[in-house]
Amino acid sequence: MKCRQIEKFLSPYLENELNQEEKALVENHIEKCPKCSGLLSYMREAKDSMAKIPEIDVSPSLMKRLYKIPNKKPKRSFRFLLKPSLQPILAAATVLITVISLYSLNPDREQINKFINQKIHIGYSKAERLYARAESLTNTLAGYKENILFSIKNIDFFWEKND
Amino acid sequence: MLIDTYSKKIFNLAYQFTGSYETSEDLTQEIFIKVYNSLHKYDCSRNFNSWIATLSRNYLIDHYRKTKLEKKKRTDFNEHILDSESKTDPEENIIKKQNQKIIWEGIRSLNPDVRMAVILRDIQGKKYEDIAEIMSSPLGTVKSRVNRGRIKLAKILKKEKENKNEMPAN
Repeated sequence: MKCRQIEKFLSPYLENELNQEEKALVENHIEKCPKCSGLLSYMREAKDSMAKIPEIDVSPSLMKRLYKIPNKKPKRSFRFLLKPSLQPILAAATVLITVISLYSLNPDREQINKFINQKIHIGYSKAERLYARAESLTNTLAGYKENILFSIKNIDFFWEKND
Repeated sequence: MLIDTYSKKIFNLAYQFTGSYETSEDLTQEIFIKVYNSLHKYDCSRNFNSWIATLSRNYLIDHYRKTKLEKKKRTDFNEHILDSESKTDPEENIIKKQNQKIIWEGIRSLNPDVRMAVILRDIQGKKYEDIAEIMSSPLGTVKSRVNRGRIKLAKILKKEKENKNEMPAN
């Protein structure tokens, strides 16, 4: 096995996490390879040194700073309004509010009401006329229905002779 | 209560990660602010220690990426670690202290994820399973990061020691 391949087994070897076969593999390699053997002993040294780095105490000044934190009231945040998913809704709301305020603050509101009423009536009478035309068209087609059905029934597809 | 229980843990993690005493104090304060602001997001089914550790880890790595801590020297070793250690263990031998200093400085060369994995495993002595939860990474990835970190630190230790041996005696 090459040194590169052995390297990945070195930590598990140090921590006794290898099975018998892998352990033997590492030990056989280390016996013959001074480079990997040296690396392993330096790894052990590094690991032992780190284990002895002590925890240090927090300074009284930092503790003072930390105890002050809960007294600070968190600022109310409206950042959620900046979410891209809310932007179409906000845009629609802005347009609606603008239209409503233009309408309610307009001094000629009566004129606008009259105009809207007229438009609604014109639209309604147009719709009525369309409906009436559609009905007359249905009646006309019903008149032709009998003739069309009769013609279809009597089409002479195979030029049969009627003797 | 929260401060009494976690201030030392968070501060030491920040200090071991950054190597700077002052920066770690600022970061500890910022992490606590973040904790208070995120408490409503805490999922009760999760271990609270792991939740705080994950939050601290994420904050430290974000800070690292913003400020590129690896370029700064980890200069506070003598002043704080050795002072603290000499009180608790006065018989610590000089070679071990030298090794610790080399390792402390060498941690600077590890990338943030490898650095965090090595600190949590070898300095803080956490279980691999806990580290995987804190780092939100698969167990195999964490083990591989720790191995890579140790190999790099071992190489640094070897190089520094060889350099010292080569130096002519005055």
